[in-house]
Amino acid sequence: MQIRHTIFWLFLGMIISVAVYLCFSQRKTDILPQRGVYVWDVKRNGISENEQNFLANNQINKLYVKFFEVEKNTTWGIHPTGKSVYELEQKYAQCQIVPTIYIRNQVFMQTKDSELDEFADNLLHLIAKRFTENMSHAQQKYTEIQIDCDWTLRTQERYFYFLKKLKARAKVQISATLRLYPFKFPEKMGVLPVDRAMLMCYNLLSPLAAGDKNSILDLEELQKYLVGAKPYPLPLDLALPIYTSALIYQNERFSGIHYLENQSFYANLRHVKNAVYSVQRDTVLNSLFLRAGDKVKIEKMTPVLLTAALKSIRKNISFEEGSTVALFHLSASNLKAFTHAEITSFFASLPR
Amino acid sequence: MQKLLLFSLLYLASFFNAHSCGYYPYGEEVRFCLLKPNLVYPHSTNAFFYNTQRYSGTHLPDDHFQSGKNAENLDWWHKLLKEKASKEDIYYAVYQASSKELKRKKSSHVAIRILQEKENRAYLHYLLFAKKCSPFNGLEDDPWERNGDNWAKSRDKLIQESTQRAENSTSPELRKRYAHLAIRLAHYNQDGANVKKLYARFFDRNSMQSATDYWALHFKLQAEASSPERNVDVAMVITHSPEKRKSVSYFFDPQFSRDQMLASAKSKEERAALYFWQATTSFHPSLEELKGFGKNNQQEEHLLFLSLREINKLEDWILTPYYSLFEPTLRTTWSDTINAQVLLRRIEADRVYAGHFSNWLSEIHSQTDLRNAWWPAIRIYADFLAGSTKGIEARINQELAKKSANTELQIFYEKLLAVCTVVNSQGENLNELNVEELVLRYKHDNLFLFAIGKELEYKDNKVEAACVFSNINLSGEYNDAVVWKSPEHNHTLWSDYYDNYFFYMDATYTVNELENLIHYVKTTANASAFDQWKTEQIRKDLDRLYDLLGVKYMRKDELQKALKAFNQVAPSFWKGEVFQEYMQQDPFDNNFILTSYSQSDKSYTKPEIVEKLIKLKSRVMASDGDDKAYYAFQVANCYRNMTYYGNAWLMKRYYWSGNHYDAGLEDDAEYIEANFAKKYYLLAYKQAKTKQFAALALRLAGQCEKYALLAQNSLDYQERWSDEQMFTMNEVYRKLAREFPAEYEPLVSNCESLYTYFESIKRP
Repeated sequence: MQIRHTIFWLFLGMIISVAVYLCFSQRKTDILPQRGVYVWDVKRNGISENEQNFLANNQINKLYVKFFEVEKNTTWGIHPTGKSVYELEQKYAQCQIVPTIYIRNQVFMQTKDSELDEFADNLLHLIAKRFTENMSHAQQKYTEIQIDCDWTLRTQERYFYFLKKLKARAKVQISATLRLYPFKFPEKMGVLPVDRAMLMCYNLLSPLAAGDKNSILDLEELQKYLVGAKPYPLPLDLALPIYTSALIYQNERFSGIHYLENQSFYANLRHVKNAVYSVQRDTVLNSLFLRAGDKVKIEKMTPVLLTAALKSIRKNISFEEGSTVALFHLSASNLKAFTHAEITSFFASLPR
Repeated sequence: MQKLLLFSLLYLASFFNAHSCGYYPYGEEVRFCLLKPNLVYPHSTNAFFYNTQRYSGTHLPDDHFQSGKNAENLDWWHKLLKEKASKEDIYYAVYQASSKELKRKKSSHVAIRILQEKENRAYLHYLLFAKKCSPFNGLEDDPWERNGDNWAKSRDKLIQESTQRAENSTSPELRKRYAHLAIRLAHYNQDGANVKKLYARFFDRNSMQSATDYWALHFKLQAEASSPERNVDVAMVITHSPEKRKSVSYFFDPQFSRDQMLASAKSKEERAALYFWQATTSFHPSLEELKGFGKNNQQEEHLLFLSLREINKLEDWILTPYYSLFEPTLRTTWSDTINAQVLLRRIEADRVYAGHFSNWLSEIHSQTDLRNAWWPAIRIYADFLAGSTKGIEARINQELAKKSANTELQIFYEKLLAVCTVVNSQGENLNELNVEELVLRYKHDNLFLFAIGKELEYKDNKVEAACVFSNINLSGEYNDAVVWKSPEHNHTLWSDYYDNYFFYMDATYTVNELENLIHYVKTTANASAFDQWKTEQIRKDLDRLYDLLGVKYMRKDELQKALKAFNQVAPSFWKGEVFQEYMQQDPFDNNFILTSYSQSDKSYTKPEIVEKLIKLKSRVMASDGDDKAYYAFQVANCYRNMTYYGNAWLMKRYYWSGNHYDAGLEDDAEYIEANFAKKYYLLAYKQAKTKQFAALALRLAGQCEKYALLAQNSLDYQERWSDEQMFTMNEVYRKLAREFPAEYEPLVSNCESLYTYFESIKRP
């Protein structure tokens, strides 16, 4: 059984390798995609052995590290929250760090120019400060800052204003994440006023509206955005998911979505139907108290799904030299969902 | 059909306040709780009281003094000032007064004046210094860290100063308090190492004497990595510092087993703390933890808290389902297969557990001198929950005779006495049981009234129960409303629960029970205030009750009795908005399917419909041939229109829904399948001499057959069969095709073509 299992995963790994190779070789044969991974935790005790192996074996040298998030309220105005509290260890000194900031869309609602000007200054200040404090071992200073925001048509004007200000004041490249909708409809949503865009091929559906579908990555939904899309006027990078999420329903009401990092959590679940499980004993998940009987919808990424997604992407999008393929996100439990061979094959297949 | 849906909504709205669309009661809206924690702890809020909103639902009131949040500190200052100043005054001095006010001579606040006395100066200086540190107690002083270094440096200076002051203090408590200030500042400087260093310098983990020791421990454990030992510390803070209980609880790491943690506990006190924490957070039976706690620590305060929590669980597990037939709020399975029988079986197991709990209470009382006034109430209530109700009234009366100054305790006893009296009765009326005064006294407590009503119902005194139910939920206050299900899990409204006696009776009362109620109300004189209260609502509703009686007889197809009941209703009732607006179509009309071709603009009241139906049925019996066919056809029309698919469904139901018709009532099959109508259409077909009329009657009988097939195969609007499938299944349609091949297609495929067939019906 174990052997069959291993062969199965190796086979899938090969499929991924071929697909990624095709993705980055057909359009332009001379591209050398960099390998990256997102580091999204607020707190972590260094980098685990498994994660270290993952980074070393796959020669991943670009870390998109979330420094903090930004939100707005009446007390503090626009302010940072969820600041990451870990330091980069010496052994990763050679990695290229991309400070990444997640900004809530609500920040750009009814916000004046002066507030956004100040925000851009504050943001650059805090990134620089945090980099000095937490990434003191880094051998090279950061050359890129990435902004992640689920902006909408309603906030587009304010968001773009902010990005322009940021770009004008920053002495480094500014990249921004790009969801598939604005990617497909730039005429309507506008083109990000930044240096490059990270195309996020996940979170395609609202978890609540997804029904039995996988809201992280649904191929049918992905196809809708890719087919017929014109080339985006910015250099693109590509982000693909490897995480697992849990949608929690308490008393039959949706109460939140959580990354599922704790593998032991599964032992406390009873399968109900499709991706839906029932909590068997009262427990705690990411500080959320779950009661016996609460329902959990587990959404996972699988090698099969990744392969198919890559095929679609390859058919429809061209990537340029210097592009990065990044996985979202680094965590011991996410890596457990994939075999070592799969991940290795995935990256090994990228042209050298 | 859309009209009908609209009607049903309006119709319901006309009777009572419906909850918003999609609403379904759960959690605190359903949980039965007579012994509310706030009765025992009137000035306290606690996230660990047993309720369904743990962690999120407990909001501290703005007035912290009232909430008891700062009780530990206030107690300390109160004792320090030799109880010469009130706690309110101390609260002002400690938490609200500025430094300037604390220094001002001749303050109007007694606490400040006492603090200024020579012997208390050291404490005044401490308070002034604490206020100086106060602005720095927060992680988000400078979110963009523009001045981060300055804040950190300022804190560092204050840490040095407070450390120095701690060293210089001659008072051991002040030494700790200054050290605690230093630790708190280090915590907000995110300097875990310094927190641990300061703790080690000024505090002794093995000698926990005052609240300050636990406050300091609360910061120190946050600077440490998770371990079983840290869990012990968390449990100690939770047990001994209610002020920090909620905030520190987040640091309890559930990954460690109880055995691992107990192995790390160094004393009985620590073991007791671990049991206390587990019992405090468990939603399951916790007798094992209670025993574990009791063996290691018999502090009354903790035993009372844990016992109350267990009582609240038992109320939820036993009384929530026993009275409302909802599942216990924190043990819900959300399964459609849970019925009243299953729930009642589960209750028996929980009553056994309540018995064990009661035994433990006796045991702990024999070992410890427990003095809190609520203990007897808890023990009596535990026995009540265990089902050991014999002699309870005497015990309650004994307690009531003590005339406690605690009003809430007296009220609780009185309510429990009333409920127990009904439980131990043979189902007599409330005035015969001499509890009418108590019921009247607490007539605004819906939960209490509901318990009384349900106990009467279980004693089979349905009349008295209905009188009590009719007085529930009258205020219209959503928060106090009681909701409940019927024993047969009826679904007669938009959902499967009730908050109104009338619709509950519609689902559950027999015609005899309803007649008894009407008779009782009509013949009972308002001799007393209690009688008046009891029957007041039902008297107002007599027309509705006669209507309900008629509807119940219609469901049995007992037309004469239905007519008699409907005739008791005041004629003006039928002119009500609901009937005027929505009962305006003619259920006998031959062309009822094609309202646009209808020849009738006549409308009927309920008694008129029944009267005409009776007449038509007698004519069917007395005639032959086309005449018989004609009358049978009209009878069939009426029966068909009194089903789910018709225009006079109000004859048999009070609610119509586009997606649910299985109400759990005795005539569900007839209401959904239109069997009476089919029978009379088939009779018309057999008797009709005209080919077209016979074919039409057969076609409509086939339609009734289709309703039956849809219902029997659980198909709804969205998933009906195709015409071919229906034809295969429907014997009557096949007969129609066989006997009238030329008529089949126009009759079945096109409603408009029916018009010419209706023309073929011959009036006698």
